[in-house]
Amino acid sequence: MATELAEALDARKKRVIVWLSGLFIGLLLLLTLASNTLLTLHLPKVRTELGREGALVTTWRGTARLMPRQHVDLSNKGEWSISEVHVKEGDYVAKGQTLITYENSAAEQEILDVQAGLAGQRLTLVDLQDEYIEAVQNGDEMQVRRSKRELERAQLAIDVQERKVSTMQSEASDRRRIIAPFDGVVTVVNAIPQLPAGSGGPDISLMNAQQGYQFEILIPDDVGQKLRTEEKMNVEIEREGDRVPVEGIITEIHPMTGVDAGASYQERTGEEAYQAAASRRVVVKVQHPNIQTNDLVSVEITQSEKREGGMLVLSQAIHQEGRNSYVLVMEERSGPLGNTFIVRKAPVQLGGTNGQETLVLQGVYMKDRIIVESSEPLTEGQRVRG
Amino acid sequence: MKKKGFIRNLSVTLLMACIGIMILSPIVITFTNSFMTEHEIQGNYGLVGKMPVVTQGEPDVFVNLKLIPDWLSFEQYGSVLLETPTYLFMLWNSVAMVVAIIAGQTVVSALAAYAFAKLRFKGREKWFRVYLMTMLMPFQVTLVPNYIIADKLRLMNTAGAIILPGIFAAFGVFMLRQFMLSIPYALVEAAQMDGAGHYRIFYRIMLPLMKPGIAALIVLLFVDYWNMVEQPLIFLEDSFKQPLSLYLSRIHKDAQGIGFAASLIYMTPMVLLFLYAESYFIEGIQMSGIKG
Repeated sequence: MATELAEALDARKKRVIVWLSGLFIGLLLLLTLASNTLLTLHLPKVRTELGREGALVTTWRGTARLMPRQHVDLSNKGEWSISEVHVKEGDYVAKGQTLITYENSAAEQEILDVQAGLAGQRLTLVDLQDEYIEAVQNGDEMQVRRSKRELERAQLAIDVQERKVSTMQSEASDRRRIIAPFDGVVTVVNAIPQLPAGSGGPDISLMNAQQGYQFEILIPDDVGQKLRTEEKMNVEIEREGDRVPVEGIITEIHPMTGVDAGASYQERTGEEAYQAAASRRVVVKVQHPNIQTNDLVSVEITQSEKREGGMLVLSQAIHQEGRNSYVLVMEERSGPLGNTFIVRKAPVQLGGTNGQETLVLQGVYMKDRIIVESSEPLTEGQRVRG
Repeated sequence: MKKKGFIRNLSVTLLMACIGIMILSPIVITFTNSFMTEHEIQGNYGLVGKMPVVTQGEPDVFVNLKLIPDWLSFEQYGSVLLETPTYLFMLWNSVAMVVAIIAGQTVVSALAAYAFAKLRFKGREKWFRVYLMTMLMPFQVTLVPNYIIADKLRLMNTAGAIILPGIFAAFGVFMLRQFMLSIPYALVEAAQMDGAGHYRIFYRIMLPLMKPGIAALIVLLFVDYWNMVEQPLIFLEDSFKQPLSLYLSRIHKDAQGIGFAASLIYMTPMVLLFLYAESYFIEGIQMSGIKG
């Protein structure tokens, strides 16, 4: 009886153990089969892309303001008051056209005084002539000679005075007005009637219409190094909402280092703003009838670069480590619980970049899955989920 | 006289209790600590391996041997079972190797033991002694020849390098032979008189009688091969082919909590097997005259 009871208890214990073992093994089996999936949920998520073959198209955009090529400031040389301004800013003027007239009563008075003086001298000359005639009639040899000298002296004085009057009149005539030295456009008018000339800077500024316009723009070295003077450049001029395509000609290229773009603003495709440490100041001549000073000019330079064996990779996939560049590549390794993805660091040799894409010359292959984005910072050898 | 006996019993009991505590305490600590958070474990054992320089004014530190967790946490189990596929995979490596070895060695041992115990042939005892000698040699002695053979058979870095030597180990033969010797030979003779051949005698008579012995062998082999370290360390290079016994040694000291949980899961199959085959095991050990 006791033996049967013990056997029954033993059998029951064994059943419990079998159940427990089954449960244990089942649980472990389930977790093992699901382990890769479970672990994957904790892994950083990455986005990969393959490199592509093709030329690196660099598009650079920049804007600048138009400036006249030849520009002169005109002012009255004397302290004359402005009498009348005949033009306004933006007016087209012809060569010789009067722009501003001036007045100076003191100067005019002075001329009158000098002219009066001249008239007096002429009267004196008449007196001397009379004295000479009288001396000749009297036969006074000495008096004749004296009178003759006096006459010559007076004649010289009159000549001097006449020249002085002439000069003063000429000067007054010159200063009385400013005329356009060439066909052009009035760009600035500072002159205000009744005020002295030059009280607010140059009285008037003109640009030469024949010479056209130009603009200056700072172009990053890697884009600008292929530009040459006398080369044509397509630009667009924005005017009253319209974009007018105009052909520009590069007139000057000056290398610059570490300068600020100043008023002009440049941007690269894919980047908010880009300012190259080394850049070139490029001057472009533009000629078009419907353009004006300060018009906004848009420049777009497109260059393509292709190297044998190179491939294009998204720039965000390129990382820097000191002076070396590398990309992170996702490698697939087949494991017993399914395939795993491991991060591998691949040092690369870079060509140019256009901000969005970078030309990789060496280090990765076309089939490599290059990590361009990850949910958290990655290290080499780390497992990730694709 | 009675008092003297009582005192002696008490001293023996106390001594046994002390030994029992010493044996059981690591298991108890492992069990309770496996339910602690990593933070709590670091608080208790974080100073292990970091020797303070008392002469420079650093405070003396002690390891806090804590038995009851502040919070019951399954964090460590979660880490081991959900975030460490390597652990699970190595566990199945262990299972595969141990099952193959146990199955193979049991079959080989039972047949060999039958031959050595019940068949009469010339040089039987000599051959048995030679076979037994391999068991007496420690693993390190046979390591080099085993390595060379595995290399020649192109078994390096495969489970075969572990399983094959395991299947033909002498321990099972020895144990089952000893067990079989306790079965009267008359049973064999009676069966032979009834016209049974060796296969029938082995399969129908000996095998059912050998159940306790085989159960004991299975338990002993399981413990032995479940805990093997040297063989896989030498024969298996790829970590994903190695058994679980090598995993524990690689747990970083900064992740001791995982070590407790991993150890507990690691010993669970052994405990379950032992509990299941307990009665057979004891009987088998008694009959074979072998003590573990």
